[in-house]
Amino acid sequence: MLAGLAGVLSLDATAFFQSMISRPLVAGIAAGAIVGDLGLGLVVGATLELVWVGALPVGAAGFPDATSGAVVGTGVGWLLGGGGGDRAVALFGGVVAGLVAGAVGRALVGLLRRANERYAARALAKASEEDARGVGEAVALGLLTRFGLGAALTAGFLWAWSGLPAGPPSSGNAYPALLWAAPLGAAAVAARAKGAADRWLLAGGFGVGLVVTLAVRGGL
Amino acid sequence: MLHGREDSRETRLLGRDLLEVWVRSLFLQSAWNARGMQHVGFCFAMLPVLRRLDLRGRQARAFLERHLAFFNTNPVLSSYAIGAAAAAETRGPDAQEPSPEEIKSALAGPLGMAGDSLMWSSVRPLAAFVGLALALVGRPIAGVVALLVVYNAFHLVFRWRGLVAGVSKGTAAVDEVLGPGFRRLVTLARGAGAFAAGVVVAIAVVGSEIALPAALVVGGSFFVLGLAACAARVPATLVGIGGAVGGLLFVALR
Repeated sequence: MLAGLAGVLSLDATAFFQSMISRPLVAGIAAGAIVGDLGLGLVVGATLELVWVGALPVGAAGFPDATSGAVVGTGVGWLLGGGGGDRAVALFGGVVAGLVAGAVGRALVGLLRRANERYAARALAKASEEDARGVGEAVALGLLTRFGLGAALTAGFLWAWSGLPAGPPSSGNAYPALLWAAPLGAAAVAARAKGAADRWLLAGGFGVGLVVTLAVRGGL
Repeated sequence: MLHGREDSRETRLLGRDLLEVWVRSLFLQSAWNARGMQHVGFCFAMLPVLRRLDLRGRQARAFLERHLAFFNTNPVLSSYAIGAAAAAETRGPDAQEPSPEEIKSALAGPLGMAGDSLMWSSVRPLAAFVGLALALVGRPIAGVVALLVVYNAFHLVFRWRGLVAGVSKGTAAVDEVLGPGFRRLVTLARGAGAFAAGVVVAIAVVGSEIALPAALVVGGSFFVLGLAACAARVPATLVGIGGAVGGLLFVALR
């Protein structure tokens, strides 16, 4: 089921629609719902979202397969932590597995592009014979290949991991979830800022957020 | 140059043609490849126009080859080019307007620049941080909904508006995304994204359940490391793995 989810959601990354259901936050929460641990999917997905917030699918640039990464990360986290208790090992393992899967997926994008080149060549050959059907076929094959790569990547990672022993039992809330990932995401935004106003807004958001969240939690 | 139609009569696209072109334009990058980039997807979106013009034989071949030529722009704003090219196809060869090929090559660059700056550099981070902020305060489903709503409010509007403007105004439609109003929108979205990023860091600092001064030091250190990594163009994945290991070490040593 997780492989199918990764395959379907990864279509949205570049191939079809790009409505952002392929983002790690969405994919992680969906994967968490499937394994019955929404919280795990949320933290893994949110962490990967923050790490990859600055990685953009622009032009011919390579980009990590963030969708499969989030699904693999949630799946591996679940296999490690058994879906309950302490999250330290489960979250660490899940996030790292997700990052590695995303990097492997980045390499697979090259395969996808080469396959698409073959489909396009066939469409051009058919067009020269006044046949428009090759265009639709190239689109369908491109979608199918994208689905297959996302599903295969996820299935491969989870299959490989399921042969390894489960992590130690969980105990307590030890992992400073997102404390490191959130500043990395904010740094990606700050690095792209076009002027002082954006950086002041970032600092202002931090100040307002700090005051509000502390007040809500009774820290003020 | 061979236009789709050899007679000079203008053929009108119907509403359902436009709707079909719009739906097909969502597949623009389905067969993305390094050689022709979005060419297959562009041609796929134009097929309802081919059908409406009822082109056969060498005219159909010329139409297909025109639209299977190299094309690359921002996928969201591509609708402006698709609309303008579709309109040009319906006008016939005698019209005193640019050809579909000229339109595609003239619009791809400006649309790419404007679209990347709005959608990728501004709206996407904004949507992500709004979604994250809600998810991290215990509303994961609301976070997902907010991410999708914020992004698609821009995405779907520009996808449809671009197609309609392209059909009705031709190349002049691109003025919509080169004007001061559009630049203001980019500035607003980027500023709002930066603000939301700050809020998310604050939530992470407070939510980490570490004493506030220590959390601020750790968060600040990772922010500086992140900036340095961006400046040095270190891949985000490597920075992430380093961050995860650093986070775990911090827990272990604490």
